[in-house]
Formats: sequence, structure tokens, C-alpha cells
Amino acid sequence: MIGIVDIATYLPNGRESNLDRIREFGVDELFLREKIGVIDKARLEDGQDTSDLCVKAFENLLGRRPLNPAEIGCVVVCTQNPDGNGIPHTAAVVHSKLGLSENCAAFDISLGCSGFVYALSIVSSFMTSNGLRNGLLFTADPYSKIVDPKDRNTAMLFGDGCAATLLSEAPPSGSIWLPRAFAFATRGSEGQALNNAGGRLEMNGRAVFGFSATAVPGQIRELMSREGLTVDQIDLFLLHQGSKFIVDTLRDRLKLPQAKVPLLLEHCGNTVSSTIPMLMDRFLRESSARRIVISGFGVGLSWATAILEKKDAGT
Amino acid sequence: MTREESDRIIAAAAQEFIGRALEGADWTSPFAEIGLDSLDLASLLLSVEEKLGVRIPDADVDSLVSLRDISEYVASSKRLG
Repeated sequence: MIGIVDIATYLPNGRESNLDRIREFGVDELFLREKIGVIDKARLEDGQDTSDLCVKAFENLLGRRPLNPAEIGCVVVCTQNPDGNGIPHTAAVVHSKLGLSENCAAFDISLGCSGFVYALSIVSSFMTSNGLRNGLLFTADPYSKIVDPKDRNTAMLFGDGCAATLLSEAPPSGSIWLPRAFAFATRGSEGQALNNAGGRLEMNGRAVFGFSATAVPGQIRELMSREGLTVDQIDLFLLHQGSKFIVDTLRDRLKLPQAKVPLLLEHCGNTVSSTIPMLMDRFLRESSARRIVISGFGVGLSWATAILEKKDAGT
Repeated sequence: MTREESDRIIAAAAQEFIGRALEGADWTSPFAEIGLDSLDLASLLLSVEEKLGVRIPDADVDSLVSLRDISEYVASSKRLG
């Protein structure tokens, strides 16, 4: 069965401080820390493009484990801010930059903050259907390409970053995170709440907040109920890091203990489809967690939740 | 539902976001003066919509600057006495 064997992340070296701009945006430091939750975030460096983030994340993955590029059966990039104008697809650019075999499938997935959960299902199913043993899933959506730096609604929230997720069958040693169940949903009728208007991101903050606060808890509760699981049986809830305020709101509405809902955006911001794999990289490596919920929500409007379980080699 | 019951629900929702009792607060004070920032307000309006069964379109939000405004908006929408 295909699952997540490893995750490596990369934040570009360009930095942008929110603290330096609170007066300009008319907010105080308490609001920035307690509500937005993003003190500073990474920005693409000059000349760096989406595929370059993927290459860097892949290098970090290689630094962690040996990986033979000839054994990669598919490379998938989840992005809505691809290299150039999207032709060729960024996965093909990454395929070239990594020097992967011609016998390797490559395609992009166009989704925003729900992208990692969707992509996990898509890629693992694709690999299973086609007998592929190793696949690379990159989430790389550098919003600095489309965020208006003067837009108070978005400029303090989004950061650039990338995660490289290695999907494989269970390795001979170590452990694997296997998807147990998924739920997907879409409210296309309200999609304009987050849109790219001629190269500039527009966000109706109230609409996105209202959608997230009402739709996401229902989906998480429903999936857990479908699987016969209670909060006590879930070790961690890794929620898309839209802002500290939305994560706190979801935690309150779901009545979850604070310790089960980690935050990771103070120095990276909302990295769109990369927030969940970044949480997994940070909080699962040394954790005793065996069963987790992941949930992503945003552009679409789209939301997706999954339950993952850890399986150790030989069990 | 009476206007008093509606106001009690609005007050309870506001207290949740302010983190303290509203007793003695001036309902005509702007939200910022009673400790509600823009995100608290988004939460408060969502809570009012859910608990009182009213829909507050974005176009109407700018006209709501105090708890009294919300109270009157709900009373008018639900035709409360």
C-alpha cells in the first residue's frame, strides 16, 4: 500500500517582516501575534521560480535518505503559481532539473490550500493503479507572485515555501503514514471569495473565514464519525495554517485540546498547499503520534480532510 | 423571539470574543472601544448569523459599527418588537 515515507521542506532565503509594517497596515503587535500569527515569512529570491523551490526541497530530501532518481515513477507538482505561464507544466520542468528518467510520469495539480490532501489521494491512487513504487509530490505555490504587497488582507498572511513528499510502499525499515479515509468537498458558487484578478490575488476575508469556520468542522466531524473515531483516538489535528485566528477558531469549534492542534506559521506564514506537509515534517518526526487528521481548505472554495495512520516496518 | 432575547444572544456572543462581561458597556460605542478587532467582528457576525438565523450580506457590514447597530439590524430582519 502506498503512503508517505518522508517529507522534506524548503523556505527560500528572501525574508519579509510583518513587524516592520504594522503601522503601515494599521494593526498593533498584539493583533499581529495573536490573530494573524505571522511575524515574518519567506519570499522567493531574485531569479528563483516555483520549480527551483521543488529542486531545493528535493535536495533536502536527498540529504535525509538515499534516493535513486531512476527509481522515481512519477513527479507531481501541486501549484496555481507555476513556472512561467504554466506551459510547460512545472512538473515537467522539475523532471528536467532533477534529471529523472523518461519512464517517469509528470503532471501538475491545480489546487490551493486543500491541495495536499487531494494530491495525496490522487498520487497514491495513480501509483497503485499503475504499479509505481516511488513518487514525488511537491507542493509549491509561491503567492508572492500574485500578492499585492499593499493589500492588508493578504500581504501579512502568505509566505513562499515548498514541501517534497516521498510516497512509496512500506520501506524495509522505518515507518510509513498510510491514508485510511478521505473526504472532499467543493463550493464553486462562492469561488470568487479567493481569486486571481489579472495577476493580483483578491480575498474576501469575511467570506473565507465564514466558510472555513462552518464547513471544515463539519467535514472533520463527519469523517471521524464515518470511521467510528473520537477525538481521544486522534493524536494530532494538522489543520491548514490559514492564519492563527482561523486555526484557533477551528480548534474552539471542534472543542479540541490545544496540544493536539499545533501552529506553524510564525516565521513562514500561510504557505498554501505546503502548510500541512510542513506541519507533518515538524511535528511527526519525533512524535509518538499514530493516528492524525489532516485538513486543508481555501481556494475553490474547496476543502478536504484525511485520516492517516502510522505503520512501522514489519508490523 | 423577543428583542430582549435577541440582545441576550448578541451580548453572549460578543462576550465570548471580548473575553469579559459586557455589563455596563455602552452598546453605542464603536467595536474597537469595547475591545473587538476586525477578526473578532467577523466571528461575532458569523455567530449572530448562526444563532439568530439572519443573513448579513457584506454590503451591510460597513453600516454596523456598534452592538446597537447589530441589535437593530437583527430586530429589523426578524421583525422583532
